[in-house]
Amino acid sequence: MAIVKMKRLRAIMPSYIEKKVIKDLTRLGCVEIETPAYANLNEEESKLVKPASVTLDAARSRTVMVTGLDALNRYAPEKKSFLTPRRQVTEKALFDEETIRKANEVSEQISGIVKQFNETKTLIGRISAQKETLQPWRALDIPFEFAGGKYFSVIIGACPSEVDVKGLASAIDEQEIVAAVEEINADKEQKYILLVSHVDATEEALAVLKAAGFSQTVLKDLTGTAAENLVKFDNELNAAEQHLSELKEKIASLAQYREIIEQTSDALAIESLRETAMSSMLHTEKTIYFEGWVPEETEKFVIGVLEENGCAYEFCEMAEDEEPPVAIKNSKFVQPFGAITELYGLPKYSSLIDTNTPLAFSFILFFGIMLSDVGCGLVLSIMTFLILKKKKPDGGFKNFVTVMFYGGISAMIWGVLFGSWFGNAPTAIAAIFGKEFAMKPLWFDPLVKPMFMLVFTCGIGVVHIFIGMGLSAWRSIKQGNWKDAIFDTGFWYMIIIGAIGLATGLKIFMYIALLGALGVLLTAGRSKKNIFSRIVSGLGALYGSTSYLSDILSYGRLMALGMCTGVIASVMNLMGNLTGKTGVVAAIIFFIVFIIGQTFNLAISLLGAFIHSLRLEFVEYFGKFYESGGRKFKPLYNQTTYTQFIKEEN
Amino acid sequence: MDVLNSMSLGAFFSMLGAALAAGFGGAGSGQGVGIAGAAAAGVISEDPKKFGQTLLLQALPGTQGIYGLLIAFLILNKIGLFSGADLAAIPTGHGLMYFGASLAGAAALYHSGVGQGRAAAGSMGVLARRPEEFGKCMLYPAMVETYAVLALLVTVLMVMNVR
Repeated sequence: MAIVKMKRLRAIMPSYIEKKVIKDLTRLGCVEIETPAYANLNEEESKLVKPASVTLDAARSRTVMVTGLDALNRYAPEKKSFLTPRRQVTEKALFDEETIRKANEVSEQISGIVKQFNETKTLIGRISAQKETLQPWRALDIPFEFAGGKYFSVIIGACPSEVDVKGLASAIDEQEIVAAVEEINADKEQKYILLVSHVDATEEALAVLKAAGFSQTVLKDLTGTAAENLVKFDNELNAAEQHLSELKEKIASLAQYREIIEQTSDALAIESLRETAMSSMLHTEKTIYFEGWVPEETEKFVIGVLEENGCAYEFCEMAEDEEPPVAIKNSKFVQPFGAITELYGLPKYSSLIDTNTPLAFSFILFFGIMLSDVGCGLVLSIMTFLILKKKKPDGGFKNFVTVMFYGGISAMIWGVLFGSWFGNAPTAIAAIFGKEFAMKPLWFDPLVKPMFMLVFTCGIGVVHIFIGMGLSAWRSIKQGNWKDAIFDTGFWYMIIIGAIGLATGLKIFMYIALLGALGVLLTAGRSKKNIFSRIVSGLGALYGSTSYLSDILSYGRLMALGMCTGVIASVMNLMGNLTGKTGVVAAIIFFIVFIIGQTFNLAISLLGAFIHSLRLEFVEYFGKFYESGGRKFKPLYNQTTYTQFIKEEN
Repeated sequence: MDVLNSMSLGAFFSMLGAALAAGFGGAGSGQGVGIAGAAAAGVISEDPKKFGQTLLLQALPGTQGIYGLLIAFLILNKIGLFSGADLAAIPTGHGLMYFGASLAGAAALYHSGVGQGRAAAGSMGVLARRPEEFGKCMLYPAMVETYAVLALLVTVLMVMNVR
């Protein structure tokens, strides 16, 4: 209903109750703590200091929890359906010291195992690489440590694959070098060569080989033949793999502690939020000073907490140029649609307008017309209803699902009005059983009367845009600028109403439009002194009427997307029974195509309906009045991921 | 020349119109979804958790193909292809009108499909760096689609009023 009025809180407390006060305020969930701006402090107050070292222990221990959970989810994934609700815990249970201690212990243990796991993986990588380099020498049955004897030397090495080894051997023979060359192995890139030579001839033989691109291979620290080494490596690899699976099992055996780790992760997340809040407070030796924002309506609860703990506090009116955080309060029905406003960006605190209520109704309307199919709407609302009832989500996801639920209901209503039941499914199904049947639209079929549908959708557009312009005028009046309201909104109302009314053929509408246009021409440039530049500005503003025209035509998408859903559904039904046969077999084929086709249609149409509803709100509607740039009110509260908070039972 | 003689020009031009709309719509969407998909793969290589969001963005340029299908279906339905009407009886004038009407759709669908693909690919970059702004980056591709919608409306209004 409105943007919530905020008050600035300033409070001082002795250091020893800091944790208790913060805990109580977190439970209350309606105070946003902010770093005090030094500029606003008086001389005495500015002697306060920020804590030099901020302790962020909770954040640090939380990363251990996260590592533990990651490992658990990888090696012992939880069998849980999407619809399973989150576990409910009380605050007392969440912060139970014994649980936290145990969770810490287990997480540390898992982290240790993960470390070993990673080390073993590195080891496996290293052994595999060594194995790879030995593979070409598999056929060499001389041990690697054997380099020759008193009279001869043994050298191994590789040369590029295009080298002709036999040619090299005969070249060595021709030069009467006492040496033998043999090809041990070859692959795509290289040939692997063994050179045995008399010690005196080694240098000469090497010179011949090197000229052909030979390079010597030195396998350090290896004893025994290649084959022996390969067996050894294989054994080592097996042992390492064995170790890996043991470690995996070890992690999996700790899966029973998943719940307490998840819970503790939540507890630490809250703790770390508090730490962050505390780090933005100012200190003296024994006292702490903090500032924050409190919604006016919850002021009394905050006072209660502060009084109870014995803090000194004051609530001050904010300075003129201050931009407090923005929270919007709506009725239970409208509230989920705030998520849509947030997608665009919250309104500025000073922009006065909370548009969530008209946005909710128009969004449901647009979404319904664009999906406009009883079947699609029914499936959507059943699915979203199940999620809401079973999973019990909260936060942004809950808002989104709720919006989709209302959208589904609306799509069903419009489907009945336009006569679309999974497209023409009733007709198609009746045809399979040799009957003729058609679901009559309650209102009209857009495919039969497309022109009427276009006028209808553009009519919705005019109303929607008028609401947007009206909100802008309302703000002007509230700010005392009634002239702006008349000149910038009233005259345009006249032009648009007049232009539309021309269709009736009545002269009066032409005069209304002309009067409005004259008004815009004379007043649009009212900030300018010079009479000519005023008129030029007025002409420029009148040219803006094209933008109103395109805005209104843009609502034609309601028709286009609405027709799409019905027609694709009908195409799917047609494909299900291309041969036009009747009977059981035809029915089964139809059923299979129907399920696949309609699922596809639902996905595509849902995406289109959602995006284009957003677009109409954000571009055509918000464009008329909306001032975004508000900072979201982020109170300190018990924010959880894996668990759901419930009130302590007394 | 029997084939040519037995062919009805009315049926030929009607089907040409349907084929143009479905063909160019599909081509535009194909290219657009391809551009967006290549960008999506880049985002996924950094952060596989964004798969769902990238898939939504990638699907956005896919609508042009569907609009093309819609036009083709409307034309084919009107000439009675599915209900087994006598195609030879379609007046040549009607065929030419369907053909003309589908031109608006074909041109706009193809180019908006490609353009929307580019906008979606750009939005993928936003998704990679600032995932919290996902809602906003869905809007840029949606802006492009307006022109496909307008052309679709023109074509549909023309097709439905051929008589």
